[in-house]
Amino acid sequence: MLNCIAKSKKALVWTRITFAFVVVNVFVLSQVLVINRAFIYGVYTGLFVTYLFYEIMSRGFLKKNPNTADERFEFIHNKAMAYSGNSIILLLAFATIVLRAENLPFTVAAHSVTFVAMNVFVILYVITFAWLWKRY
Amino acid sequence: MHNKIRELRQANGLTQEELASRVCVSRQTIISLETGRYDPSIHLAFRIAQTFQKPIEEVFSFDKDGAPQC
Repeated sequence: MLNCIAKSKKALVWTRITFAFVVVNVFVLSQVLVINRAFIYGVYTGLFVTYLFYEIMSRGFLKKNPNTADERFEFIHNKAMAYSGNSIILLLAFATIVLRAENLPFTVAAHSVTFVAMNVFVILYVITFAWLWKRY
Repeated sequence: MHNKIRELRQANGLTQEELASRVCVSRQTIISLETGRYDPSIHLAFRIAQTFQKPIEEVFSFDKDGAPQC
């Protein structure tokens, strides 16, 4: 997951790979699913700006703080990932049951569910990370 | 777990930043260790003990009396 700034060189390399993977996938999916071009250009611009920001900030950060990704950081990161991951699975399990109901007064699009799930995960991760950072 | 990192660091005239750099961790980790909020891995515990040139049991103990607890 993107964590604002890479805390280790390994994380930076993995982010580059992830970005490349996303770019290729967006290209392939946009061809297969015939998605609006303006939307795809918007996605590409967003990806490019985010990648540039991440790369520049991470390089600066790693130069100043070479030991930031230490064992305590890993410990907190792993816990935050586990908490937010488990919470999102619970939430999705609940949503799976609720959204199967036939008498729902509203309809939910698939992309809305994934959007909400992704954002809830990111928010939960940030909150849990901050809380654990204070605690340990 | 109890540790004597702060006492040993001050006795050796090291700042938190210097100790952090010697044992390859961040200053926040040294602060957490000194305040007892975070227990180090065995690798980090050995690195800290080696930095102070002390046996590990002189730097870390299970509690203030040194008696192991479950």
